[in-house]
Amino acid sequence: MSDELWTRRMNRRAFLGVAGAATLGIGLAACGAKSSPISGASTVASIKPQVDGDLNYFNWSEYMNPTIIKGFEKEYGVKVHQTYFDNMSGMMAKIRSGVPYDVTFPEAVEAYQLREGGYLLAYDHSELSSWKQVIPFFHNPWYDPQSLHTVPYVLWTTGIAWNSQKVTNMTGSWNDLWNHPEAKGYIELLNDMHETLGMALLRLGYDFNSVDPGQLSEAVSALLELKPSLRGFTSDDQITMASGQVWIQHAWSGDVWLAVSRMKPSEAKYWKYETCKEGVPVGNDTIVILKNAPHPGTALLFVDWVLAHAAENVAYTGYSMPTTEGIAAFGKVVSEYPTLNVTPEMLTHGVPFKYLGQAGLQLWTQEWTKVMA
Amino acid sequence: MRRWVWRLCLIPGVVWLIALFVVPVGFVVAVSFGTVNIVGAPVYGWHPSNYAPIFQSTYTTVLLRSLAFALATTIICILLGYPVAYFIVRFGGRYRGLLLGLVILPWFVDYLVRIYAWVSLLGDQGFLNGLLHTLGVPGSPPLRLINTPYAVIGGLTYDYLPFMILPLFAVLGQIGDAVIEAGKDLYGTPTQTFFRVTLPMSLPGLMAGCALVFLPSAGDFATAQLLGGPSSYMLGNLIDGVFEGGGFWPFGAALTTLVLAVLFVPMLLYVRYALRGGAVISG
Amino acid sequence: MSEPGENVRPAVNAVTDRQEATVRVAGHDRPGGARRLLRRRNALDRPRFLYVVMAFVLVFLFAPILLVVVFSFNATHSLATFSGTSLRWYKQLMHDSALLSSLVVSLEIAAATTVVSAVLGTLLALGLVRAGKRWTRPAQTLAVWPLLNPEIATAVGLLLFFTQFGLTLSPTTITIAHITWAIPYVALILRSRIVGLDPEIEDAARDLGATDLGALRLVVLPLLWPAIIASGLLIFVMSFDDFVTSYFTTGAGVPPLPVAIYSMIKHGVSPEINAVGTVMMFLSVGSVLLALAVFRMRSAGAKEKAVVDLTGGGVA
Repeated sequence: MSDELWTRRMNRRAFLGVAGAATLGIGLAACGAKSSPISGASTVASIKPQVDGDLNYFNWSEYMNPTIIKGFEKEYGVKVHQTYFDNMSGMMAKIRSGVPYDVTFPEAVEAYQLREGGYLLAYDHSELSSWKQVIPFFHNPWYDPQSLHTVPYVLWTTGIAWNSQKVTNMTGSWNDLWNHPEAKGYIELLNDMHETLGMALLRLGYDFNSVDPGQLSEAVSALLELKPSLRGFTSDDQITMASGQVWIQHAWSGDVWLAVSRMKPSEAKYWKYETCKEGVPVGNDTIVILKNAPHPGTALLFVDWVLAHAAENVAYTGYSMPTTEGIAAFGKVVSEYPTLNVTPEMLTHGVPFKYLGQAGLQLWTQEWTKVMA
Repeated sequence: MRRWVWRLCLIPGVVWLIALFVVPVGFVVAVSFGTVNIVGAPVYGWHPSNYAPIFQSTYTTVLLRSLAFALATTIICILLGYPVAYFIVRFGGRYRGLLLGLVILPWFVDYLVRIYAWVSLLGDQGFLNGLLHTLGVPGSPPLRLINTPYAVIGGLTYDYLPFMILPLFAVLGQIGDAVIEAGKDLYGTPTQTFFRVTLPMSLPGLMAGCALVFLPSAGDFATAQLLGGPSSYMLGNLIDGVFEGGGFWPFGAALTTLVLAVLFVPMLLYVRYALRGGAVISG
Repeated sequence: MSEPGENVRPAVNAVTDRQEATVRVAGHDRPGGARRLLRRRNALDRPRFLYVVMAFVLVFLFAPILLVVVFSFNATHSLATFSGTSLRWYKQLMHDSALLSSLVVSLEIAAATTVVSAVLGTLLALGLVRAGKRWTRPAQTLAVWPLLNPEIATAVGLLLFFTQFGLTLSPTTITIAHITWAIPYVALILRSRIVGLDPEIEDAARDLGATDLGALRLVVLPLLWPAIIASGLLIFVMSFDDFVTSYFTTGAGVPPLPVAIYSMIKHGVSPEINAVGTVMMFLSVGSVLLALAVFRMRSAGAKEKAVVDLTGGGVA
């Protein structure tokens, strides 16, 4: 067969192959798509806190003091089967696929999504003996009206940490990241779309969760301006700070605490943390019980236990917990670095992370990828 | 008759490949035109707008950069690999196998370890900078070698050089000394012989080598991530960012489809030239 | 258009025929001719620059790796200065349970991948060569495509595929992903070998009364055995080494070693990685050398074994 004929045949066959594959893929996908539970007003389940089997626990690794878990196992004579995820999309994918976990720990935005999607159990919070210890802010959070499905877990703020031996003249503003040319090559931002793009929006005076294309575009340009001065983007801000690789770090408050507690005291005393006047992102995780949890009674006991032992958790994770005891304990832990503290006042004035919506998520992903490019 | 036995043999492999290779590729294309629901699950539909931002300048820059890196790597691999293959075939003598083995051996070291070797060589606290420091060169670090495009191209060359050498070795080996001698008789000088005899005859192997280097390096991301840095990101890094960073998956799928589309033509050329002509994957 | 593999053998034969003809013409079979030819070669054909490039490439390829090995025995944390030998990084590795579990997972995945892809790949190869043109053309394209496809596209596709069907990402999914890219490698390597098989031995077997399957078992498979083992070991090393596919199909459990190392490097360079790297190096290189040794032994014995089996062990 002649060469051109052969090439045309190959081209045609290859094109048909891909088209066929795509169609096959779509067909199979449509068949395989699981219908999610119907969303809408959840009826409050009447679950009693009592042991009904072992606990299936799904969380980040090293995100809860092991003594709390061991204490729970001992008190109620059950085992806690721990599985871990290492990012939110991985967690969501597992939950979507219906794996029978009892409790998991989504961030506020993911909790909102799961609730809207009908994946969460609504239960009577008065069954929790420690519920009254939780600060009033969380009795009706934006992501869970009346807080029927969630209890809050850890709290943090996002700000700027710096090594005062190398850099001075910080003004408590997000502009500090842009205005220190002497630190060129030693600045890092967080490799987190919502944190960093949101921060750029705040600095320009816009809403942290804006989905306005023009505003996002401006934010992206500002970040691209900053990019040449950056060493990079990281999610391991603990390590970059502790290793001396950076002088200025866009950081999560809890990681700042963990970093300074691991440094030599002679180094740690130079590190400082500020929150910024244009807006302080305040985030929180939550604990949720899944609608198809096989052991909801044990789960309720566990949630109650964790809240009751909030004080034990704060030093281990480096993050504050929103119960009266937890807040007091955390205040003591960070007494040398008071700016790391998360107080109820900061919650009311802080900027929450909100769900961006499908279209918003698409827009943000496209803009954020430009920053990465 | 006997034929049906052999036809039966085809079935398990073909079924596996269709189910687990062709269909997933279809998924990538399908998801790229879809969107997501409230909990982030892909929802299929027709949203070609997912592709619109790709034609903006930032993305075309990354695309061109990826292709440029891959092209540079391929060229360097030719410049280094062809002489090496030629040398081993023509002048290796009884050490042919040993020399070839030596050249291929680094490829059996894990890919990540090879990149790491470069990181520790070129890094700010790495070997080269340490050497320069002891020699008294000022600066901390004396030389910024890592986090540059050159480090990325160097790393990619290091990763894929054996893929250029192997097919060239195979095809040059087939040519044989006597043919080259005959060529010399015809054309007189070694250079003429090379360009008129050796090179044309080695073309299938050369094309194979080019494809085996260009195609994987265009889609690479680990090298760019660890040796490059934010200003040297390739398409693979962007795709990685969307999927690992909890972004809008259909957009990540669109970027992946872009990679597929762009590399489709080189793939077809490879199939046309290399597989029809000479020996390719030695075995 | 002829199939790719089918061209190779006749082409090689043609070249060797041509070589023989040229040799006879150039006078190698005459006493003085050989010496004359050798002298001409020495004078004109050893360009200095080839030696230089060869040496440079060898240094280029080995220097970084040797650095890793040497510094894995370094007594201090430094990557720049070598201050005395010590096994501390290996000791640290021994106690690093995370890395050790990753090593085990990688070995398990590699073993499973090797076995399954060897079986499926060999079958596919047999079919590709012998099933008749109408069937083999599309199968051929299908078999070659995964080799050319950008690995990141295959990996993302599998990620979407697995999550769509709710399959938890785990070493099992990684294994399935590895087998998918491994089958074409095995198939293509075996294919060349099958094409090169002497059909007369199989015909002889059938003349002696063996069935088709019998001929397959007694004649074809033993002859293919060295190639199967060689490709198996190649797949083992490639799977152990694999990064991109594993990266996208690893769940939250224990990742394979290359993925674990990637995270470690992202966190910052640690001399422990030198130790891991050296260990991996010896494992991979060792497997390859083992393959060669086995290949040599088997290859020598396979043809004899086939003949002996055929003739009932009676004839010498």
